[in-house]
Amino acid sequence: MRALIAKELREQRWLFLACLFTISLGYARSLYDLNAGQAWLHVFRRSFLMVTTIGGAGFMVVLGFRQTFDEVRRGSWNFLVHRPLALTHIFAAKVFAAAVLFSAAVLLPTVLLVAWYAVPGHVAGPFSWPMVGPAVVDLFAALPYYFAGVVMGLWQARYTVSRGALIVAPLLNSVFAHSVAPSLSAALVSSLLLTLAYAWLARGVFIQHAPRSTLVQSALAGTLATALAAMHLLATAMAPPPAYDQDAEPAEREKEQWFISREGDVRRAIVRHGTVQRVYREDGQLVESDLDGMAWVHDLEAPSAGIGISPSRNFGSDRPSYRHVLRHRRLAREGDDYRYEWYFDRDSGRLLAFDARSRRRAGSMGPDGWSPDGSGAGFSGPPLTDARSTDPWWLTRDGLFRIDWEGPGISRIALVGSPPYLDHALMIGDDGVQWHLVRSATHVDLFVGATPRVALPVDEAARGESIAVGRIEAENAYFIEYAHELVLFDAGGRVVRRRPLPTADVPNRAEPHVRPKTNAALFVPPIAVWATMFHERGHTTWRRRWQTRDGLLALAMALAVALATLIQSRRHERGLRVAMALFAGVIGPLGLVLPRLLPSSRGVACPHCSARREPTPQPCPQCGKLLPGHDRDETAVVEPEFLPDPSLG
Amino acid sequence: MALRVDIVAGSTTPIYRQVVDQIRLAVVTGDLEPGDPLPSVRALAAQLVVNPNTIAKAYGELSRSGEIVSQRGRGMFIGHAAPTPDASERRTRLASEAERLIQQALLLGASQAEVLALIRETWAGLEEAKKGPDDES
Amino acid sequence: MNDTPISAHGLTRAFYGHLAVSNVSFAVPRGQVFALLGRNGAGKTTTLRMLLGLLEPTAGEARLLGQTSRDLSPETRARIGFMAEGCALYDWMRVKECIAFQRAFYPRFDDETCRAVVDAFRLNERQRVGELSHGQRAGLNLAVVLATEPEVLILDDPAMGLDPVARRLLLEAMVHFSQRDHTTILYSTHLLADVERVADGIILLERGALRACCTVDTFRQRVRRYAIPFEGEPPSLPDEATIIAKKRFEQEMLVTVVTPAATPEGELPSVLALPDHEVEPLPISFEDAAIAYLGHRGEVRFVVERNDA
Repeated sequence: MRALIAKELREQRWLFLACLFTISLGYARSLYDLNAGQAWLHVFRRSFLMVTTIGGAGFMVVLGFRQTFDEVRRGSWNFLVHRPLALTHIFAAKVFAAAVLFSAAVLLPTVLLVAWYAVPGHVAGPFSWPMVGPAVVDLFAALPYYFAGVVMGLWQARYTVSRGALIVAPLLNSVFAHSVAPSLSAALVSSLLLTLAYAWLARGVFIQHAPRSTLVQSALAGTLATALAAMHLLATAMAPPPAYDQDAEPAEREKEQWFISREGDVRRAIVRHGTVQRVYREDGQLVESDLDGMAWVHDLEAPSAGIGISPSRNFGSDRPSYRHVLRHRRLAREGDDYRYEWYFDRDSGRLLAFDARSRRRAGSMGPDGWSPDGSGAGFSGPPLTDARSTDPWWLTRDGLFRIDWEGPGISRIALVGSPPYLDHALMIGDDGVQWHLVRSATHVDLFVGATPRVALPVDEAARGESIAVGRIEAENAYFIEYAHELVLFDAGGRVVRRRPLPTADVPNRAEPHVRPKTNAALFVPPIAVWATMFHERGHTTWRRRWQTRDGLLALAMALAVALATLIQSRRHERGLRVAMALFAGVIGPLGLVLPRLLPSSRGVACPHCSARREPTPQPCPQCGKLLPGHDRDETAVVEPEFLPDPSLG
Repeated sequence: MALRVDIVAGSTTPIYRQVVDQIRLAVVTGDLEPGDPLPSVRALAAQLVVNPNTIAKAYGELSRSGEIVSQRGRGMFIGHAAPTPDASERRTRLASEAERLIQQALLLGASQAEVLALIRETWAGLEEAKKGPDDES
Repeated sequence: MNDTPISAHGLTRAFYGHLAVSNVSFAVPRGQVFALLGRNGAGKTTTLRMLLGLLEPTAGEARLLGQTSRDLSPETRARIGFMAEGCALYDWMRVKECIAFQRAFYPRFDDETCRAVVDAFRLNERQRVGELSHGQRAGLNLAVVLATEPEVLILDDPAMGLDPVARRLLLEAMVHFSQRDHTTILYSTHLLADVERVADGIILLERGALRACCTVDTFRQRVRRYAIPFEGEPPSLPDEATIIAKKRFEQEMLVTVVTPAATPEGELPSVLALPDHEVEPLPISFEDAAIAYLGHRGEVRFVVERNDA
């Protein structure tokens, strides 16, 4: 056993060194960046983890493949399996060697890097264990690749392509663990389960390299089926929408848009292809539509000289994933010349400052001010907008603050309305003064500098609407457009005029023209058609009618494919046959290749008439001849003393 | 006198027959005499690179006719019995040899008398050689 | 203790539904050397692999040292020496390392035997296995296999690609070890002259089926060749399967016949009882007999009759 492990280690040493070199190079590059002060390259950052995500998986699949394929290809397989060891032990020796190599080539560099990162003074940023989670997941997700490689090496594929199919499940798992898994434990459990399943499969294929049990065959069938289904669904996803083809919006359609003229009047414009065609006054009278006149039009939806709020995604509102390590969030910043790296710590609610030079914690900041020892009250929540440590303000539920990041110091500009519907927009005016537009549940507040200018009570129901602020040059006035109300006010903040805006009649909100792709069901996996039907249940009746038609077509397709598969798989075991037929029916025509991919064990071809028959002493049911070996005649020179004792056979 | 046996594999004569013939030849030509030891089965098999069972078969045939005798614990020795091929076999085998000799004679243009004289001469020579060592001992 | 350490019981194996080995049964008695003969693709390697449990039979069973091949225990496997076709060794190892690797698995590894074989094949211990000649490679494989003192030795075409000297060394080793340890040997080969030298018996496969399983002497006795001289019309022979080869020359027909087991030496087999023709027995070597047996059935003519038109 020890000799076998030593042999494995020696055989894979070049691969190991190549991997170690590549991974170390990747890490060294990251280390260099970290050392250069770019602390945003956390150990949990996606870009940083490319090394483990891709490097680890790649190394493992190549390692597993080489460990078996080389033995089979070079013929040393016979020498190997004739060792006086149980095959399980030979397999275990390979796995052990692989574990050692993985630990040394991938795990060790990662652990060293994390250890380095965790020591204070190395990186100007906080360290906490959840930050290592993604790296751990990547390492675990690399494990099934090894066993996939082992099986691929041993897989006596009639079609080389079916070797590649084995890697699809680990790939899907990687995608799941990386992007879909809601929690660390989900990602770990899925990786571990797949590793166990693949290890079991690999062991089965290894110890029965030539003889294939039904169990191993079924496992292979499952793997291949997963791969086929994944490929199929992927192809379907990339193709145009499966069953329904929404016609593109007719290009001729005209849109209606509202504008404010320089005079502060509301204008209705008809826009086609992004070009204003006609402009109407509110009373419906056509205004001279000369092109020069375009300059005075302000688009209410995207004011050119103003700021706008659309319902923003607040800090931390992303889809939950363990990869977003929310405990510490670095405040983005630009440039190199700064004293502190700032982080927002969710636990304490305080802003943490790390000295950019010594890379140690310098202190923290709360609503009450800067504290070098980190004590003091925290903010009552995370920042409400994407915060940057170059922006001199800070908005939380506690209010709007002005922050001096280098000082460091903090002062409250204003308390804002009650949570939770807070939005914020900032405009730097022509004179360099900051305009803050803050929306709460009850008010829209406009601050110019630190001075509150306008506070508009708003309807809560309209909180999903966008807000626009702009300046009307001609009158030296300003406007806020919000919830179909236009508020004009002067520089002093006095409201000059308020008027409701007519609700735009949107002509393009008509029912989209839906035309069913009549032949889609013939190419799309029936399961996808049915899934679409299920998903779109409850839409208009005529659409459902088409869906029913496609659903029936898909059903016919599924039955046809299942039947064809059943016929095609005559040579397979019955259980496997049924499973293949069912599966092929669900995934559609692509499933027809399944019986070809899986080796069949039943029956042999009669050498006389090529009919399929059982290898028994009975004559061929087709041509009545015996199989060779059973048709011994008087020309055979056989001495009974060299024949086996029949009682043993 | 050592026993020299040459084996030709792939000939029409089976190997055990070659061994038997050559031991007999060694006896009739006087290379081996009654009482001379023979190599063991294993030793001869190793020497000739032949399956030991083949040698054992050859020894078995020779010892059945008494041409060699086995002495327990000491090995095989040349016996006193003369080879006793039956008359018909003797005749067939000699006839084929004679045919080959005459073919050679015709090829070389020798007369019958010349050949017969040569046979007599060679015969006498072999008898002489067989007796020779006896006189010296 | 059973006295047939190697036995096959109706071994059958199909690849992708095509029979490679069909109903092959034989038993090799302890201490004997058996040669497995057959043309390329006759199923020799497949049979040996099934015997060693490296390949699952489609039907039938193989037994080695009394154990079913498909689940040989490590202890039993340690008593079986196997030289795979082309000598499956690790090319990157040095000769010394290869020996050490083998030694690690066998507590009974006999260094003296190993050294003796290594010296006989003049192997340099520092050389890499991949750089060895065919003969040296076979020698190394033989050394590491023989040093484990196997009770059963299975060699898959060990003489493949060997020069005459290496071939002779191989034979010497087989003869030596078969009698020293009463090793039961089964080896496949194409070298019929060598078979005659070292083998007790032969197992002959033809297109996956067992055609002969007997001693070398029995085989020579049963397969005989006769010459039938003729003038004008060639003799018409009965359409009997036992006439395995007919070769027609201008004035003579050479016929190879498998005689029934009871036919004594010198007696004409009944199929050749031709009233109008003289039938003359011809001596036949083992090699010729085997070739006639393995070759195509029926009449072979190299005289092509041309129509002078």
